[in-house]
Amino acid sequence: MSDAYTLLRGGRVCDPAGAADGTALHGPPRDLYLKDGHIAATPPEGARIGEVVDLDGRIVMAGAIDIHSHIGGGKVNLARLLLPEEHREHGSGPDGLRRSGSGLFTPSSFVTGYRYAEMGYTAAFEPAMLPSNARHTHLELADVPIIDKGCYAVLGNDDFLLERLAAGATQSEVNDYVAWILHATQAVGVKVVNPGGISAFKFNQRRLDLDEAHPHYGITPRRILTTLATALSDLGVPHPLHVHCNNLGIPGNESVTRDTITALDGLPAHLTHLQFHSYGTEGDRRFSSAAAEIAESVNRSPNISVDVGQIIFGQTITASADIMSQFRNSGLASPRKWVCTDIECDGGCGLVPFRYRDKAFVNALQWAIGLELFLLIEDPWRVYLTTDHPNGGPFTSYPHLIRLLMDRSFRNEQLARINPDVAAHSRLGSIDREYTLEEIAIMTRAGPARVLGLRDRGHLRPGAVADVVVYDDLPDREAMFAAPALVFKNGRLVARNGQLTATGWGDTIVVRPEFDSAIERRLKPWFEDHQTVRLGNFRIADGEILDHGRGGLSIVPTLTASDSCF
Amino acid sequence: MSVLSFRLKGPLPGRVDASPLLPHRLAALTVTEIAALPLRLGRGHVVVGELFDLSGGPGDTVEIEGDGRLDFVGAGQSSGTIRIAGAVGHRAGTGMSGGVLVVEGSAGLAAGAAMRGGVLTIGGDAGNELGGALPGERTGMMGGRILVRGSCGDRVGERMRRGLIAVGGDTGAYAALHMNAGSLLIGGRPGAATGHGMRNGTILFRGEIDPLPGFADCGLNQLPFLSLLDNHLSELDGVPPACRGLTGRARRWLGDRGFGGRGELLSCL
Repeated sequence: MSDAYTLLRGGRVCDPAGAADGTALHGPPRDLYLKDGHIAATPPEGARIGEVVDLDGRIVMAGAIDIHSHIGGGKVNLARLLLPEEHREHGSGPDGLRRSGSGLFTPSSFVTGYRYAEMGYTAAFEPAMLPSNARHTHLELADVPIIDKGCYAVLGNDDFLLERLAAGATQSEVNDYVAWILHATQAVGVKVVNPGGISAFKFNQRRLDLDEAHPHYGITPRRILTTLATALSDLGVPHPLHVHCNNLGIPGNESVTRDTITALDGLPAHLTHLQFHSYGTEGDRRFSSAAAEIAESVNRSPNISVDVGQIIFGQTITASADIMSQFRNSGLASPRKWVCTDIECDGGCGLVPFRYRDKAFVNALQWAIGLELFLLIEDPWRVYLTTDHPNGGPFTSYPHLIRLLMDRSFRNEQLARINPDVAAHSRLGSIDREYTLEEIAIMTRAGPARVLGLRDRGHLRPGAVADVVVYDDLPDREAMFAAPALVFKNGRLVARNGQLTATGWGDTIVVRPEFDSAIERRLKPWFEDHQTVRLGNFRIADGEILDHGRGGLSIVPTLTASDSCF
Repeated sequence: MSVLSFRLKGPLPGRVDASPLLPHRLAALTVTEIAALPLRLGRGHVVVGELFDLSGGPGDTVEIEGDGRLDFVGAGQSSGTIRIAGAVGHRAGTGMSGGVLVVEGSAGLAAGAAMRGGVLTIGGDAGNELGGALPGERTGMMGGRILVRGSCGDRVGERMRRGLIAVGGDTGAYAALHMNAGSLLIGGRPGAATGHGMRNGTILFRGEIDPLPGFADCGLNQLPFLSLLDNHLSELDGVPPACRGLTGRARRWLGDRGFGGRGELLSCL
């Protein structure tokens, strides 16, 4: 602890979640005080100011938060193994500050942390941690330096839940199971991937609609979805159910997406990589954009937040627990190799390398659909910037994506370059909207923080964690967001002009709702009979995360009746 | 034609990545600049001048005194000649696309892996994965020639797709593993599981073999192409004598049928 303040003097603070005068972007410059890793209130006269950084009217924002980025765990590791050429071509040696690492779209853990920090990101969330892979995921994330991280546990295709639902389990039993999983796997939320579909795939089903019964358990995706969403709502978990809808990537899947929103019937939920779920079947090629319909549906449903999963042209790899869709797409693998596997009956894992080509109609239209969603969903508090890294493209393409959103002429230039049929099939060219800096700050900071329930991140009010990013106000927004002038993590300068200057370790963000531990009486025999580890060994202890002080735990408070979800 | 020689000042203190020492790259530099080139040594770096005494002038031939810890010699070579007096470490000629790489001694692991062109000659023995595939790659050698006077280790020519490998001595286990096409000549005895998973291509050897059950015996054949191949070999430098003298008579097996393969094992008489 130190009694000295760090003063960031004269920045134009863009803090949409801050106090009423928060958006001082066009107002007078403001001073910001950092102390002991937090934002401090203006200190009394005579307080000791250790360091003064003159910002000269540069733009100041909170550290950015990536709500959905596959950065660790079993499938990312398999992806790395599948594409050794990527790691051969993009390697970097140790330089005294950084450890060695490699990779471009599946970077090694250290490189992941460095690149995020250099881009002004101070937290990222791994969205698909299978409970049986939880320990691996946390061990790997423990090697992601600087940034804070959290995981969503994947449920909804695990046989325990499906079997209990089929046997007529009560909502409270499901609630206890969900809470137990959150505790045991040190997760911050729950994701459901293709509810019921991954399990149905193992019973030879190749597609599953919302009201189609599971071939073995006889329950519908709708039931799984609403039960899990209700559970999180009952438990007061701030991040609502993170939903990867059914029938990803199938033309015409927009109806299942809209039905999902309707099925949730006001229950809060987060629909992820919505771009892959907004396809229609119109036109000669039976593939069209349904972004307008989906956006309208999202606009009408204040309980729904989304992230887009924008695609970026170039080589990447798609990594998903949704083996049903990955198996379907395996023929499109480029280079021609792929992996689909079951993981301990909890879920699955499919990896298909993919090259998004701007001259291919389908890929170009996917690109346009993503941008349409960004631009047609009106409330930036409910739509977040993602590429579903690495599925749509690597997270390092965010600055490019921000420029596409903020600069209409740049966007239209890109639209003119891609497959010409897309301009005719998409309304993208006619959309005038340009995101403002405040809106970018909302969709990359304040919004994700709010939907994750992070009360001390995503804003710059006194008491917040001092994750502060300072940008030069450049007309080229891509250059501006690619290399921020200064990045502070916990009040420490970690990057300057997009280059790392210091490294360290972030926290693991978890949630701990209350539950009745009697559920373990049911779980224990299940583990004994069907799992490869026993219940006692399955649970991840705090000490494993804390690792003698190297890691940290940050517990998100659960919601009480007086909190509003949104 | 000028020759640039690298003479070792002493035994290498650790593994050195010699891949920057390619003739076409060095030709553009002065001797002083070359002496200041950084080479990876273990986790750090060292300049060329600290390890080697240089003599001669940069041109299209480079001569290097060999050491078993000198890795990646001629990796990515596309033109010119590199001659090594002595042994080399691992991955000599990896990804080579042209030129000539002559190793007078023995080579370590994965010499000529993922080769696309050029000629690699090894005077001694070669380690495992000679002319093999880079880890995780679907194809291995895609062109060029590898000529080894001595023996080689396991998995020679793994996932090979084109080109010629001639080994004067014995080969280890799993020679031509998952071979797609190309030719592998074995002067000595083939090891266990030769041709496992091969889909196409040719493996030639002398004497008896007990092939894997996936290979169908096609009996004795008179194959005119073998004398053509022998003529071709006679025009090449450095082909091990044990691989020469093909008469055209050979016992032939087709396989690996377990993989739907139509590659051939030829026991030449």
